[in-house]
Amino acid sequence: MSKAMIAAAALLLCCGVSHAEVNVDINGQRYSYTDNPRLAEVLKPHALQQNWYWSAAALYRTDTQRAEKLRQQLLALATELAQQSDDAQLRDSLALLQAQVNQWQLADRVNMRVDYDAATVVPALNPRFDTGSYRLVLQRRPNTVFVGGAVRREVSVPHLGASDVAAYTASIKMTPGADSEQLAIVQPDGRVIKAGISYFNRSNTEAMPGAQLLVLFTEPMLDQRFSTLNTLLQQLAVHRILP
Amino acid sequence: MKTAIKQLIGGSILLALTGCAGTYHSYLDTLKLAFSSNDDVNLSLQQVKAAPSDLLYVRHGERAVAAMALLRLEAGQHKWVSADNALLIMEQGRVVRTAGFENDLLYVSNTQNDQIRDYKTINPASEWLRLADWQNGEYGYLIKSRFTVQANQSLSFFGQSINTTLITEQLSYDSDSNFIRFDNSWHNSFWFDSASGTLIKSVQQLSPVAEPFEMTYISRIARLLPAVTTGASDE
Repeated sequence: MSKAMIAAAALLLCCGVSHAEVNVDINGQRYSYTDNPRLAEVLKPHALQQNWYWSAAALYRTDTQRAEKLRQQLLALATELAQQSDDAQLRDSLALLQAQVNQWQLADRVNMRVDYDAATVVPALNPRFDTGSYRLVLQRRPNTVFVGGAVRREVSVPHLGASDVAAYTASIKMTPGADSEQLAIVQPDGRVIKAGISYFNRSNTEAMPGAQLLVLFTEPMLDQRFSTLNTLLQQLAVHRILP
Repeated sequence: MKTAIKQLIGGSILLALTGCAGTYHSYLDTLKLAFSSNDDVNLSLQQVKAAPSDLLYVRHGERAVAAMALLRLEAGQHKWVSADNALLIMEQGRVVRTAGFENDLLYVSNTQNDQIRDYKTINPASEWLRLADWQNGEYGYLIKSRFTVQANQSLSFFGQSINTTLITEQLSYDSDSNFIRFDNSWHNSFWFDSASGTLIKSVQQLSPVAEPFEMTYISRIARLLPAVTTGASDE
């Protein structure tokens, strides 16, 4: 009995592999695979076309809705906070945030390192794609960083070499309710780091070229919802495909 | 039953993972030429010549000398791999990227103007400027280099001398670091075979605080030496 069930499971596994389809959009060029390719195989046609900045290379799922659900959660929470606030300036700040987030191009980022050279030598960095649709974004070293969140207008500013993120504060026009003591940095490799930017809490943290600097909202002691809003904002930014 | 299916799937995944291992891995594993080894690698001239791919001896800091194999030459870059999967990526002998080390070099800009690419045209008055990014959180650090040339520097390998031209690179970190540093200048060395112009050895420190890489192109050297010589390396 158990042998027969194992055989059936093996057949199911084989059928699954034979009907697998993986679609990948790499910088606008589309590829289809009837098997489940490994990362290095998918990257190979593009890997040598440019001197890619692999730290900023990112893989997204385009047939799932996790990021979009996060966006809706964030927008709903911002609406709720605005409706229950009697501070007109804070309501405006939340509306500006919603307008920004509505403009973001999102897809579900796959949490993995994308590096052709490493994938060709380290098996663990060369996983197989699950069946599904993907977008792979490769870029040369970016020369800007993006500033968003509790700001009057989202902007991209030149990346500052060898500089603490506090050096960017001159470019930032924060809105009322913004936390002026720290920034969240979403590095292009997907890491999120909080960095102090006040004279008393500077942490000497640098933004990678192509990073997003997020101005968060001040978190009142008695209202945890702003903390949730900040968390959602950071989580959502990881899934953003930058212009 | 659940356990059986899990084992079956687990076995399938394992087979899938191991199916694509590169042949260089088996070769390097045989030689045990990893940075984690305690002993310097020291191959005979015959062993070097018999190697299935070009070999590079590398001493990283105070560690034992390891050998790396030439994985690929593509897009103008030599990609060297160790048995423990560390990667050194070079353009014309310059390390432009590392992977698998403690603090990897992610990026170097302006490599096309590196004067090491054509050492015979080096002008001591000119500078090479580039930006470097580091995995430990340092991005866009400006490095300035000047070069000097010394002819007739003799190096010995496998009991024979090779006449070389030594290029000394004086480097300085022009960026104010976010971290405390006491010395922002250092030097690198590149030895070129005087007859052929082939780079046969270099010592490169990638930042003021990084451990230097001493790299000997042992396969190139083996090709430069007369075929009659045998014996252990002097390196």
